[in-house]
This record gives sequence, C-alpha cells and structure tokens, in this order.
Amino acid sequence: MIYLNGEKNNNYNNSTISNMLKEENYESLKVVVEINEEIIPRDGFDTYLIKDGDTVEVLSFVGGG
Amino acid sequence: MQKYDAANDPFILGGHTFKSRFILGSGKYDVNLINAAVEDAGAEIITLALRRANTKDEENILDFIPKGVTLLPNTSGARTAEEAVRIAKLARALGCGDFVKVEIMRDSKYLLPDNQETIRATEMLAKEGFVVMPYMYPDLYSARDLVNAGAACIMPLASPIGSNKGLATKEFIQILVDEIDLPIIVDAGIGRPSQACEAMEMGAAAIMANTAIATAGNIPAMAYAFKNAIIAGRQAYLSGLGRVLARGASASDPLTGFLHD
Repeated sequence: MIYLNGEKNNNYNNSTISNMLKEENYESLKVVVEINEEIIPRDGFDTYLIKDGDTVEVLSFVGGG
Repeated sequence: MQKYDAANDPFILGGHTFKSRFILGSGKYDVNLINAAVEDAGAEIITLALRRANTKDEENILDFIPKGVTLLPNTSGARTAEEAVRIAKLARALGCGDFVKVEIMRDSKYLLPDNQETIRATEMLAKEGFVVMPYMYPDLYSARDLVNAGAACIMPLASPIGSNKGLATKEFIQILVDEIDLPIIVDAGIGRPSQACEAMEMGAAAIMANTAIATAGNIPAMAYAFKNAIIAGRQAYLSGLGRVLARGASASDPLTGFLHD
C-alpha cells in the first residue's frame, strides 16, 4: 500500500513512476513527482520503483497569485 | 522632452531584464482567458501555484500561457520556511526557471504574510540559487533583513490579499521605497488601475495584481487598463511630480488681465 496524493493506493508496489503516471492518466512532462519528500528527477521516472509504504505526491502548476 | 518608452526604462530583476512592470496573477479565472489577459496586460511575468496534479483530462495552465513569459511560482500553502523551500524546489523541478515568490502565511482569516518565516525562507532559497521575491508585510526592519537574506526585490502588501481595498499601507510602502535599495513591487490588495498608478507614482518598481483583474467584468480589458495605469504612474514618477502647496492657491493663468486693471 502506498499513499498517492494523500489517498491509499494498492496498485503501484514495485511499479515504475512512468507506469504509475500512465495508469493514472498524468502527463509526465507537466508534473513533478516527490516520493517521501524527495524530488525524483524526470529522467528517473522509467527506473525508480515505487515501494510499499511510499508517500507519492504528483504535483503540477495551477492558477495562483 | 523624450516620449516615455518602456524599452528605455528596463526593469531589472534577478539579472533578467523586463520591459513590463506589471506582474499578473493567474488565479481565480478561467485558463482560457489567460492568454488574452497576459497579452492585454503586456505582462512578461505571470504567477502560478503548485498543487496536487489533475489528470490530463483536465486543462493544464501551462498550455494557456504565451511562450516567452517568465513563470513565477509562488509558495502558497506554506506555513513555514521549510515548506516554502520544499514547494520552491518542486516548482523548479517542473522546469520553470529560478524565480520564486515566497508567500508564507499562518493566518487563514487575513492571509497576512509571516515576515519572520519569510526572511528565513529567503535566506535558504537565495543560497540555493533562486531569484527570491518575498511577499511581506511592509515593515522596514523586515525589509532590511530580506535584503541581507539575499532577496531580489521586496513585495509589500497594499492591503489584505484579494480584498481590492487598495493602498491601505501607503505610508509604510513609501518608507520601503525611500529606504530599501531593491525594487519594491507592490503586491496584494491593489483593486483598481488608479491605485496601481498611485503606487507607481510613489516609486514602486512594479505592480503585481490578480484579484482586481480576475473579478473584473471584462478580464482582458481590465488587464489593459492596469497596463496603461502602471505606465502612466511610472512616467509620472520619472517626471517628478508637481509640488503641493501647504495652503492657499497659485494661479495657473496670467494675472495681468484687463478686466479689473
């Protein structure tokens, strides 16, 4: 089980970040991914494996002042 | 006398040169209007916030911002310096450059910036190579600390965020303009073009506005009105304002008339 943007999720133990983004319908070029408060560089999306207990945040820009 | 030309009056911030002195916020309005608002504002810097991502079925704001515009992510949502640094680094990882507007609030009713945490965050971010633009409550001591912490400019609030109440802190912003050797960018609370103009007449280097435009009847048209007001205020400041009499009057017509001579 992982936390994906604050919600419990059982789908991505041992999944790459790229796979998780694809399955969740995120555009990898427009998001930044943080796992356990560490930023994962985009060139690591294909190799970094999400593991049980990880807290995954997928963030992007929105309007703001 | 030369006509005012923004090209001859560059606005230099963090080693970058801008022609426009209008920083446009992108919150609270439809992304479809952003392109027109940026163009009509003549804005070269636009602020953004970072949030948990929507899936790609939903619109992404980056698709609506004209190319060549400098993105200025803010750290809204941060309550501590550490949280602000975390947000800034995430924003930079999105590939938007090194600019960051530090915005740290612990108060959710008035949304007032926490100057002390803002100073700490500014120091941490400047050391990491960010161009740090701190949003702050206009206080001279805090502004001096922000200068020492490595800020690229100072962004004092005019009145509470989103209030459109104008230059409630005018006297204190003037002190910053007079005493601080960094660009003073008036941010938050500016509600009308006339208020933006007044801040520029006082010597502010630039204006940041969002809600005044987002809540206007015609968003791109209001952006255009702000653009013109900011140019007018800048030109007035550079011209040197006419003097104010302490009392009495001073005729602007020749008094040597003929009727009562």
